[in-house]
Amino acid sequence: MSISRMMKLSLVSADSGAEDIIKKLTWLRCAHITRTSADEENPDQAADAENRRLIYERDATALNTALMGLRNYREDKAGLFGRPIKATRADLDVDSERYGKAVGYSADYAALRAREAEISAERTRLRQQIESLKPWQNFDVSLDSRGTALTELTLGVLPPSSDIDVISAEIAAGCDSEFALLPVSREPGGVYVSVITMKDGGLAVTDELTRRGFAKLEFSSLLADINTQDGENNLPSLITDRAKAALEALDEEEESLSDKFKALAAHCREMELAYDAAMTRAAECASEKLVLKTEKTTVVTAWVPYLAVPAVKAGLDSDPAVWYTLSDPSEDDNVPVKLLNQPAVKPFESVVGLYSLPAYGSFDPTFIMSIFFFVIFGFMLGDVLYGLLLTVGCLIMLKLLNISAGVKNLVKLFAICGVSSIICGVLFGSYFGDLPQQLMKNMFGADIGGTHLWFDMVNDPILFLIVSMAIGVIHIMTGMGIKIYMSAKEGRLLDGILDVVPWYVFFVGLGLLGASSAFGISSAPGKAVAGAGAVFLILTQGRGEKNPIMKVLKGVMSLYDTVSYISDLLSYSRIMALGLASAVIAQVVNLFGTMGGNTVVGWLMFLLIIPLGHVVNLVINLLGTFVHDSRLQYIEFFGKFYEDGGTPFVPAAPVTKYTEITE
Amino acid sequence: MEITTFSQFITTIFTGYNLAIFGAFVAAAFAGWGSAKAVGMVGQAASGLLSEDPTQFGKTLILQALPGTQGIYGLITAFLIMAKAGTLGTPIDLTLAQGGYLFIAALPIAVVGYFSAIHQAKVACSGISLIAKQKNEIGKAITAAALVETYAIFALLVSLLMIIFLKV
Repeated sequence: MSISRMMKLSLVSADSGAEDIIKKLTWLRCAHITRTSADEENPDQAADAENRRLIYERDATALNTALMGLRNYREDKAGLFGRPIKATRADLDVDSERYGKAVGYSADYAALRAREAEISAERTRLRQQIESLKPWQNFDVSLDSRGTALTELTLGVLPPSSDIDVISAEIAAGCDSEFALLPVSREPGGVYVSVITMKDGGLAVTDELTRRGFAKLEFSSLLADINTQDGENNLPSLITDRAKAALEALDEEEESLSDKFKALAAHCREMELAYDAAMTRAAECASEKLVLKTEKTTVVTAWVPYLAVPAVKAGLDSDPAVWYTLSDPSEDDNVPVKLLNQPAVKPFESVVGLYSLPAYGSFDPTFIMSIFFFVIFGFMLGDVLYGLLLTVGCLIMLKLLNISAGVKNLVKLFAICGVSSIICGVLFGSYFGDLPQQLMKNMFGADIGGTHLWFDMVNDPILFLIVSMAIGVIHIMTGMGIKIYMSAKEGRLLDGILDVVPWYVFFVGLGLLGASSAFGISSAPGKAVAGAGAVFLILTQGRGEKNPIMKVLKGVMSLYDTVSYISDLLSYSRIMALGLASAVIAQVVNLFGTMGGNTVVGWLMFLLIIPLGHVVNLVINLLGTFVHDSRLQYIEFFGKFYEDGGTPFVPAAPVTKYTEITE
Repeated sequence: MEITTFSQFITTIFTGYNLAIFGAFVAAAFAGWGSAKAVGMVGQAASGLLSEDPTQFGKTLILQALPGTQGIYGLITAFLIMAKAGTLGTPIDLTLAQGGYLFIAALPIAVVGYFSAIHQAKVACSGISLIAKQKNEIGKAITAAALVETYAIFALLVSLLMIIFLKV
C-alpha cells in the first residue's frame, strides 16, 4: 500500500579490513549498501575487491557446470523437484575445508569431461585408420616400405572397372622400363593395387597408369599418427589389429568414466553448498567495492527500511568497534524503493516491477492496480474451468516445485487471477467455452440453452464492448482521482481538484449524451452537464497563465485533450477482443471434440481433443491476457498519475540458490 | 436459382451479405498481417537485447506486445461486422448497398491498421535500443510507441461508428 520509508545508515568500523563488517551487514539481510564517495578515490581498493570477486565467481561457475553436468547421474532429486539444503551460517564459509574439497570435485568433473572429449576424438581417428586400411589387409609388405635399392613401391587405386591384365599388357607394350602391377583387393570403390617400378625410368609407367585413372595413396600421415614401438612391423593387418585393441581399451575407459561421474554425483549436495558459499562471498566482494577504506577504518553507507531499524540496531550495538548514525534521506539522495503490501497484494508487485518502480516518496499504486488487474484479467480469460485449472495448477506448483522467489510471485499472481476468471466464467456461462451445450447437443441430442448469469458474450458482442468501455471509464477516472490524492499529499489539493474535477463533469455530461442517444431519453440533461463541464475546463485549465487572454486560450485548447481520452477509452476494447477470442476458439475446440457423436469413435475423439485443445487455448490466451492487461495498467492507468524511476531496494544478503538458512 | 450465365454467377457471389463478410475478412486480415509483421520485427530486436542481458525479458515483452493492438482492432471490427450481418446467429439478408457499405466501413482499420502497425514496430525497435542503454527508461519507450497507435485508434473509431450506425 505504500513505499517503505528509508533511513540512511552511516557507519564507521574500526577495523581496516572491510570483510567483517560487510559480512555482518550481509547477514542482517536488510541493508542496501551504496557507494561512499570520498574526495580522493583509491582505485586499487576497488580493483582488489573485484579480483577477489572474480575468483569466487569463477569457482561458482565451475561448480555450476559440474552440477548441471552431473544431473543425470544423481540419485537424489534435483532441479525443479529438488529440496533445498538446510544450512547454517557457518556452513557457507569459503575458508572451510569442505569448500576446498567441493571446488576440487568440480575441477575433477572438468577433467573427466575433457578426457571424455579426448576419448571421442581418439575413437574417431582409430576408426578412420581401420577404415582406410580395410582394402590392404592381405598386403604383406610393411606400410613404411618405399621399395628396394633399385625399385620403388607405390600403393594406389584404379577405377573399379579396370582390368589389371589388360592395363599391364598395354603399358608393357608402350614402355621400356620393367614394372609389376599387382592387385591387392577388389572393392566396390576401386581396385587397390601395388606397383613396383624401376627407380630409373619408372616415371613413364606411373604416367601411363595415371592416364588410366590411377590414384596414388599416401600413408605417411597415418604412419606418423601411430606410435610404433621399436622393431614392430607396420603391416596393415598388424596396424589394424593394434587399432582395434586400442578401441577396446577406450571403450573400457569410457565405462569407467561413467562410474567416476556417478561417484562424483554423490558429492552434489556439497557442491551446491559450496556454490552458495562462493556466490555469497562474491556478493560480499561486490559490496566491498562500494565502501571506503582508510588506513585504520572502514566507512559504509547503506539504506535500511524504517521497520528494520530495530534489527539493525540489535545487530550493530553489540559490536564495540562500530559507530553508526541513522538519518532521514536528504533531497538529493537517490533512495532505493521497497514496496510494502499485504500478502494478498504482494504478487501484483511483480506487475509494477516489470514496468518501473515508483519514485521514492510518491504513490504506490499496487493495491488499486491489483483490483483492476484482477477484474480485467477475469473479463479477458472469462472461463470457469480455465480459471480452475490455472488456480489449482499454480497452487500445486507452489507446493511441489522448487522455484525461485521472483517466479514464485508470478505463480501466486496467476493463482489469484484464476479466481477472477472463475467468477467471470460463471457470469458469462463459460465452462470450457460452450462445452455443456455442445456436449448435450452433439452427444445426447438435448438442447440446454444458455448457462450464463449475465449475458453470453458471443451472442452479444456489442454489450460486451460497452461493458469493456465502462471498465475503461472507471479505470481512467480512478487514475485521475489518484492524481488529486497525490496533489493533496503535496499540499496542493485545490490545484488537484481544479485539474481533474472539470474533466469528471465533462465526462459525465458526455456519458449522459451517449446514454440519451442509446436509450432515447431526452438529451437535454446531457447537453447541459457537458456544456457546464466544457465551461469549467475553459475557465480552469489555463489558470497557470498570467495573461487573461492566454488563460482563456489555454482553457479552450485543453478541450483538445478529449481526443487523447477517447483514444485511451477505445484501447479498452481489447478486453472484448481477447475475451471473445478465447471464447470462440473454445467453441471451435468443442465443435471438433463432439463431432463424432454418441459413438465409440466419437467419445475417443472427445477424450483426446477436448483436454488437449483447451489446455493449448488456455496457455495461448494466458500470455495474451497477461501482456495486454499489464499494458492497460501501464499506459492508460499509470499514464494519469505515475511518477516512475525508482531504483529497486536490493539488500546485501547471502545467496541461497540451493540452501535454506536455519539459524 | 441454377447458375447458367456469368452474370448470375456474379450476382450469387456478390450478394450484400457476402460483401459484408468480405469486409470482415479485409479488416481482420490486413490489420492482423500488419500486427504480425510488426510484432515479429520487435521480437527480433528483443532477441538481440536478450542475448546480451536476459534479465530484461519482461520489459521487452511489453514493447513487443505494443504493435499487436492493430490486429486486435481488426478483429473487433470483423466481429462487429459479423454481428451486424448476423453471422453469429441468423444471417440477415443485406442489400447490395448495405453489404458494400459494410465492406467500405472495414477499410479504414484495414489500411491504417497495417501501416501504423509497421511504423509502430519501428518505434518499438528503437525503444528496445533505448532500454538497452538506459535500463530504467521503459516508460519513455512505451509512450513513444503508443503515440503511433493514436491513428489506428482513430481509424478504428471511424470503422466502428460506420458499422454501429448502419440501420439494418
